[in-house]
Amino acid sequence: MATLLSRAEKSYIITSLTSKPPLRHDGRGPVDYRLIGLARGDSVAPLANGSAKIRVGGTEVVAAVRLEVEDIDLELDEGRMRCNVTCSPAAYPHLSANQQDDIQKDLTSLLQSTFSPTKSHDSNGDSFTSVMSKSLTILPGRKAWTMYLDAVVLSDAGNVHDVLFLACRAAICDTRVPRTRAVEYAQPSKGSSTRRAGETGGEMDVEEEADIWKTAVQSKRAARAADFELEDTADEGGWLEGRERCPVAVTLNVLPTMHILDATHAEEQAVPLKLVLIYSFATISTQKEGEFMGMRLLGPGQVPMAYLSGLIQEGETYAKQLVSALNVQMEIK
Amino acid sequence: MSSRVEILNAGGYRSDGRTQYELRSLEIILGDSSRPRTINLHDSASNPHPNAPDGSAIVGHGLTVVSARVFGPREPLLRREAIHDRAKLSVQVAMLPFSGGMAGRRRGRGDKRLLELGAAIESTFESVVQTGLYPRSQIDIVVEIHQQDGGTLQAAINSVTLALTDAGVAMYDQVVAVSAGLHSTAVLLDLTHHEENDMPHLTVAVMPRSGKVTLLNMEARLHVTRFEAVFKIACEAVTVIRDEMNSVISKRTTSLVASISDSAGPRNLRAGNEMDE
Repeated sequence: MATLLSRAEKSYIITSLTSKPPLRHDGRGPVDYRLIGLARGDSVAPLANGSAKIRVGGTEVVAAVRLEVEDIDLELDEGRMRCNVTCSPAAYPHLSANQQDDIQKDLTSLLQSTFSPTKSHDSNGDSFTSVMSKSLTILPGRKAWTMYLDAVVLSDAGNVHDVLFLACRAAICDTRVPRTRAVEYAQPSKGSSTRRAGETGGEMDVEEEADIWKTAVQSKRAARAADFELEDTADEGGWLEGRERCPVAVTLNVLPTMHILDATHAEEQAVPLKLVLIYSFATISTQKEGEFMGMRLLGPGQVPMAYLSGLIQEGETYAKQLVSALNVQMEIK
Repeated sequence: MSSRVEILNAGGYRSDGRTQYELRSLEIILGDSSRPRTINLHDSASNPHPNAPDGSAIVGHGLTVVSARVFGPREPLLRREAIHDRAKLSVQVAMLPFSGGMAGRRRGRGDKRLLELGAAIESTFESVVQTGLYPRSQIDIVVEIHQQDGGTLQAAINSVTLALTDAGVAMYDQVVAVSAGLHSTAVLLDLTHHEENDMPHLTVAVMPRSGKVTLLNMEARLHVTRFEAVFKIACEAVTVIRDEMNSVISKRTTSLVASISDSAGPRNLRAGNEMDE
């Protein structure tokens, strides 16, 4: 990565951060976020099932969810999620194409590993991803929605991880799954099968048709369902189950004595040690403790073990604030 | 190959209700509009970050939305890429995965279609940008296709013109593009995706002041006797888009001049801050 800051500039930033009170060049406190702008729905990506654009300072990420019907194996039984992060060439204008690809792959793998369905081993029940992928099932063992979560980093002015996860969370919360019902094939009754179409009137034909193709009302339990059809409802479908449990990331930029949140591009270079913490919360109202979903320690340097657990706890409070702010904006709960 | 939807019905209207020569609604956002004009201490968006582009524009022709960002003129990333007597122009085209339109799932960086689009834009602007004024430097143009509904190339060219204008890069003239097609004998302007699939069409990029054509792109067969009619009407339509673009540029420049004179004196700056709080 091309060095954009001189040693003097870096030391200036670190010295002012570690002074008392800590000073940041844009006047924020150490744990203040920049203004978070949110746009969602059709104004962002009209062709997607759910989409959102998050802008934090100069960092801008668009995420969109598309649902596509896929044939699934009997043992799989639920929908899958595929994540992909693309970085626009404009996001990293000072990097070569190969370096941009590396960043893309890093972010994709982080997202994919967070969002792939796993069975949790504790007593709390299933993880949010398995709850979510169950709600993507159309016909158990046969057809399910595959969720394509595409995120595009349009520009990066620091703290891209947090913004990426915020955008993905907002897009998933904005997603509506089209309502489906199973269609099953019923054996035509004896009386109707002996009649010929030509002999009967038009009304009888319709009746017969309705007899053969029965719509299984209890769609999910219809064992003999042959196919599915889309319900014609006024809304565009239901929300994804467990969407409120969708995770957020909080990046702590760690200095020996303190940490800062939402670092700008310059601060990220001066404070290279980043701790990305990913949390999921059941609901904010119950005040239940969050689930810790992932952690990445990025950049050179190290954190003492004793210090780490404190950071994880503090990260949880920040994440909780972030989630509740987003929930208010997205009108969840 | 007849489609169920009539391209041009008996009343002279197209499938989206436009008349033959009617353009789609043109939406132009010049510069970074999401950046607040007033100074806000708690929003660092008011101080541009080092990765911020020097010029940017978003152009929407109906449902087709394309943005362009210009970086430079700046020092080339690779020293060996510098040309001693002029600037090097490089265009990269990216397509958002959910932009729709073209068949096929995802188009990455090495995709042929995108490279072709980039090459077309590059060759269009190489003759227009005064590259001789910026020796040993590089001008990077990034085009992002946000939504597609036909006329991607025309939207890309128009947005690049505006972004270069916003960046203050010297050009001999603007380049304005429009697409046109022929439905039996009727010429249609500014085609949608649906219309593009059903008739021979071309994209023309014209420098309106000199009347020179810098790009003519056609991927279908069109009889030579019909070509002239299509071409002439397209060249005429370009002036309409040019006027629209110029009005946006002058509006933006006026607001920039106003904000410069606003913040000229320290007293006025303080007044601006008070307004924020």
